[in-house]
Amino acid sequence: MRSYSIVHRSYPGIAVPFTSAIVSLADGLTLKGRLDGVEPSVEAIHFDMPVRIVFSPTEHHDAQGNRYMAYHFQPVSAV
Amino acid sequence: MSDVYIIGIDMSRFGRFPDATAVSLAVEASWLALDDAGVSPRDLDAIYGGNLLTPGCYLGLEVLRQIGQTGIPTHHVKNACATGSTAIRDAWTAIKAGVYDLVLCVGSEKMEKGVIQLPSTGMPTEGILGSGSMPCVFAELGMDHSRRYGTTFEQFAKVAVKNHHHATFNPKAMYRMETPLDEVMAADMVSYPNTKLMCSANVDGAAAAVLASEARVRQLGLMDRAIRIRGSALASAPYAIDSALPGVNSATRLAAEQAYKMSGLGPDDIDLVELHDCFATAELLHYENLGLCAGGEAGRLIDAGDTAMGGRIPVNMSGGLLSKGHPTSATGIANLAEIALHLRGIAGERQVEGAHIGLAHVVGLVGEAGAVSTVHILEKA
Repeated sequence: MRSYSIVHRSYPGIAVPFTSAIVSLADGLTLKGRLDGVEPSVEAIHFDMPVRIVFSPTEHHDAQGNRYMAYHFQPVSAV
Repeated sequence: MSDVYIIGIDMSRFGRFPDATAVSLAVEASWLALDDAGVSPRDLDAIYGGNLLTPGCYLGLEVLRQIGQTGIPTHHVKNACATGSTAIRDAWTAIKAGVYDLVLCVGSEKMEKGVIQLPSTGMPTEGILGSGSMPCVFAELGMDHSRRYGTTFEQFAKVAVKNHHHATFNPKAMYRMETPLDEVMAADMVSYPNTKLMCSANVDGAAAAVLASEARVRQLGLMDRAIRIRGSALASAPYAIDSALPGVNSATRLAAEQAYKMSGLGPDDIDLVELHDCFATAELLHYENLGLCAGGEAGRLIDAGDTAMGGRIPVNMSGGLLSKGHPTSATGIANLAEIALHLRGIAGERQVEGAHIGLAHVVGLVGEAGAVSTVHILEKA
């Protein structure tokens, strides 16, 4: 995990707090996502902590009723 | 090739004005700038207008309708938060090319309070794929600096203390209140490490400038009060593989490099800077991006007071976006107006003594589409 912010205020209707994280992938790409499985606090989160990508369904559907999938991050230790 | 000059520049007071519109504010700022130059709407060869948030607004045409429909060309500019400064850059380009000799640039915005929400299509991503809110994006950029250099929450917070202090000397600023360090750090957390007092103020306001060719300045006899544009640069962020962190730094570095090269000047020649402190975290990044200090030294620069009033290189004497306020399309002209006040020696209590060269910097960020930046270097003619 390269960088993060703990989001306390977001758009209307979005549950807070949560951690928004920037993760460096092995090939140099970066990806932004929500970091789960660790308390959203400065004490609990550390730069460079290894994370992995986990996929799960969201509550959102497209116009045809198909459910959107999304990824999020979890600390390797929590998986 | 001859130089381009600012011969009149001013801004409306920044604040929340329920009865004003983007157009009424723009008209106010336009008259202020025209009066500052001592020219009439009849003297204008063209107008450049910038507005982002008023639906269907063609600001240049709307302003002409109020100040005089003389048949001149109207240009409308859109470049995120760099809209106003891009209007200046485009007018500079046209005057350099010899197409126009006297031009009015105006940027104006009526803002909503709270976190700005960019329109999106497809699956709602906020809170799922992290956060795309501006306070978070700039927090993540700041935390990337923390990771590399150990920059602390306290150092970021000191930026807000400084800029709010500066604004107490600026009668046109939105907030004119001291915010001690403990108050900044204990304020409502928006997106760590940016507390509410470390986020720019979404306010209403407009700013305008009259630009002229060298020949026109001499013809009008205004060289004694003219401000020479030594460098005018506009850049977009080049492709980068780590684009989840938007190219705010790379766009700024590119624009700064070009403006320094064009002017033949370097960071050591600059007497004061107005930079894009949309969030407190951003200001420290730009100390390094603009070459005010070496990589990793930004935290030390704010700790030492080098960028505060009376310091080695005062930054955001106006109060910056944090405290003067950030009406998006006006910002890029308002920060040139602040530099002009100091170069003319009429900035009052906050005057940077002996200021001869100033630099104004803006960043525009358009979600995942990327970042743009402008850098202008001004000199008392």
